[in-house]
Amino acid sequence: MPLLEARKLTAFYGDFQALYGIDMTLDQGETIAIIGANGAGKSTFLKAIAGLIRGAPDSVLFDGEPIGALAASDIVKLGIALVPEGRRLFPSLTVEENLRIGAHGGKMREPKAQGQWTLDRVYSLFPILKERRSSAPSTLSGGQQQMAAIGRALMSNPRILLCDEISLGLAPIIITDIYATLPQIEAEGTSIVLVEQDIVQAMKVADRLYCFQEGRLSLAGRPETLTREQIHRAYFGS
Amino acid sequence: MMDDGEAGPGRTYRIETAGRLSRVSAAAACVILFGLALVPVLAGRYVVQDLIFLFYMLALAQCWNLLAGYAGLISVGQQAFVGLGGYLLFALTLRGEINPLLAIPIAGLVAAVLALPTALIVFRLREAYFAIGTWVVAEVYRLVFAQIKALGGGTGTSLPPSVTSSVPGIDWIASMLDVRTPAARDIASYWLALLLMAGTLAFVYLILRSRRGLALGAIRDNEAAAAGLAVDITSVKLAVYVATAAMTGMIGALIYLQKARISPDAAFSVLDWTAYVIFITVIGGIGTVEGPIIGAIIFYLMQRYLADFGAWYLILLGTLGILVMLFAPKGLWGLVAERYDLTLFPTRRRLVVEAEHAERKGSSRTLS
Amino acid sequence: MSGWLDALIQGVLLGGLYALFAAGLSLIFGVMRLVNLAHGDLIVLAAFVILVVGDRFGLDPFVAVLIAFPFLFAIGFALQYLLLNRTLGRDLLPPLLVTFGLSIIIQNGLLQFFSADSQRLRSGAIETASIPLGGGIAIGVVPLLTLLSAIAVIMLLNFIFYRTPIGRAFRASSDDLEVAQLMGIDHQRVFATAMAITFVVVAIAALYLGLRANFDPTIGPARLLYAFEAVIIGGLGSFWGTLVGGVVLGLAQTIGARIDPEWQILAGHLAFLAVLVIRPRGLFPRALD
Repeated sequence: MPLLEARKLTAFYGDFQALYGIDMTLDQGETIAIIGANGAGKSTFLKAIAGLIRGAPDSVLFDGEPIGALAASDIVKLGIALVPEGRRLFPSLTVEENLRIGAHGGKMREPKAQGQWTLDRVYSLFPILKERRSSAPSTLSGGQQQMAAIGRALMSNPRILLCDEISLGLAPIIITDIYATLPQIEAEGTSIVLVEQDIVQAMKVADRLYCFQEGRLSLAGRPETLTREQIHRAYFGS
Repeated sequence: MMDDGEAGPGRTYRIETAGRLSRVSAAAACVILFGLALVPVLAGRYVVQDLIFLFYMLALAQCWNLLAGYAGLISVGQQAFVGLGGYLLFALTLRGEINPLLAIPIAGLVAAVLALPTALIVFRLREAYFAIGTWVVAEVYRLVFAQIKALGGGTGTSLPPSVTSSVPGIDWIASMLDVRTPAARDIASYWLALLLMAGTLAFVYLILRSRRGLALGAIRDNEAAAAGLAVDITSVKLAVYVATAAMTGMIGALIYLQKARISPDAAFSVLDWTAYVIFITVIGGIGTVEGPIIGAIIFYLMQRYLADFGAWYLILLGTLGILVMLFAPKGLWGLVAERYDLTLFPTRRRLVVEAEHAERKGSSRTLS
Repeated sequence: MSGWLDALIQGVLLGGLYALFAAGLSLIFGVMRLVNLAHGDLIVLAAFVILVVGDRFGLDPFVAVLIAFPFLFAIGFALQYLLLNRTLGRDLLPPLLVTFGLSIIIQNGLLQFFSADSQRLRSGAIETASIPLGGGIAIGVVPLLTLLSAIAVIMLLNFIFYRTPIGRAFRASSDDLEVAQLMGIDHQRVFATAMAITFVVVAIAALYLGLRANFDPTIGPARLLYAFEAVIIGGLGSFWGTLVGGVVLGLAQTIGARIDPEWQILAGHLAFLAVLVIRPRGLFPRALD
């Protein structure tokens, strides 16, 4: 049984349909990447998984349990955390408070056998955050903000980490740094879903690749088995 | 009411605001108005007095509806302009010895002039804070008028019959309809109220169908987007605020000509001139021209049959208002209109695509 | 001269009462951007609750308010959870109109059950006790307690807001409701908790309202306006600003009353409008947003 499964997942913004029957699976310990052009529905998909857009109960299964109709605040307690697009740190909280509030939902969960994410462990993953712990998020660089946003999500001890465009607007060297931490997160048994526009980066870390086009799944497969041609067509349409 | 435009070969688009039904209802409105004008000839004095009340509440509701329902300016301080209009009428007729008929438009004008500096202050407050800000301003007006000893200070004053009877035509009405002067006075007020109500309705309707009305629709739907379309939001809002102040001031002047007695607490009452008016608009359906009409009739009936229950009546009003806001935010008219896709006073524009000039009616497709 | 000094001192003390009126309004605006038009009526309602509890059990108002705390806390929570949460959203109208309706319901409910008669909370000798300062100036004990309570309430609210997990949740919800939910914050409960705390503050305000002067069911809207003015004068989002705003309002009113007793309320309103013209964002606007 997959850890997470989307079954014919649809999503609407008012009358506008953003997703049309997406099927997807994620196994324990796996990293998958979702690519696609702007407006393809990638972020919407993550929001639907995280509960910010609610749908039919069995459109999303977590450990076989239907969670598609649950509220975001309940889903994070089950162990699915979202790093939202654009970081979205809380401006009136300090960096450390931003991290601490990440544990707001996680504390409800049974401690797991594997290592718990604590403030200290997040600080050792991203040492710069410890230096800036009392700062306002707005004073941080884009890369530091992204680290804080990832750290905040980790504080809930997620079994699945959903990352929305974590490389957006960052310098290549910073992107490399941030991507270098992903294996450490995976080592804790956390599965990762990446939404990326940076296809090269996505292909490097992903076990499997999904491509969205206009709210529909246009391609799925292992990166090494996919041709440039195929990806190009799935990405831009023909 | 059409703007014709060629858009590609064989295809015409036109922007329509009036459907056939609405042309029928425009004709019906004229008939109804004419019928209402004849009421005093046929009905007794109590009916006339009740209808005066209904008319001015409806006129006030249309003003508030334009303000809150279209321009997004939620004011709980419109009693400022009702009281202002009333007091101006008293000042002009008692101190200035101006005929009441002339004093009413002057009161409207002065209310509009005073609305400008008022707006300058309250427009600094946004959204919900604007609401309470307008209330504070109304309180300032109330407290200031309570200080004017020449107009009775805190206890208020009355209009002598010599003033209330000086409206031109009262003698003529008395002799034509064979009624005594007080009844003739009511009838004159009735026609004035009817005129003002119809005028307010026409005014609101025409504003909403004008280019400015379009801008208002844009503001209501999405302020940020309206700003992006280079709609000068502040000036449109200011224009609406001042225009409704003028209308509200005139209605206030008429109300207090009819009441012939004024006091600061009554003239600037938030319950009488704002809470009831909001109730009417919300129950009927905010953001539509039809809603307040329905709301005013419901309110009139409740007032007539339930007002004796005093506090319980007001508790009922408050509860009904809350329930409608929670469960039918578009009001009773909204429920009806949604169910039957009905518009008597169309203000939304419909884009009608026509395939061929020849088959006009048959293939028209409404994109809404 | 000592008359003016007295007016200044009394003004500052009166400001304490207005700060208590305003603190709750400031809190719920800070957490959920809700402007509660029934706030003044809730203060009057709480005063009646204290009155009834005191009468029924023969308790001093200072004790009665302690008993009223848990009830009002629960009522505040329920009101927000069951009613007001449903009104929050993009549209401005529902919260305003629902709280306006609530204001009318509370006023008339109180009129129905308690009549329009003036009431007062009685607490024996403390009501009239005063501390002479010399030169014919004296400070009433109750007004002094009011100001001290206002300062304590503001300190407590600051502590809750900036030093506790629920305060963190308050600020996070205020900053970004969507992301707050991603953190596992149940915003409906967070909002209800904020309203429950507000009701406790309202109870404290009601205690001093009832001890300092007569009250009746109709005086709520005026208290709402004072509270609102204090919040705006102080600047949105700052509790200390709210305290200062209350004091500015209290000073304006007592100075106005000193010139002409009929000008008390008007002077307060005019001071508010003047601040609005000169400093639209208030004296101490929050640095952020």
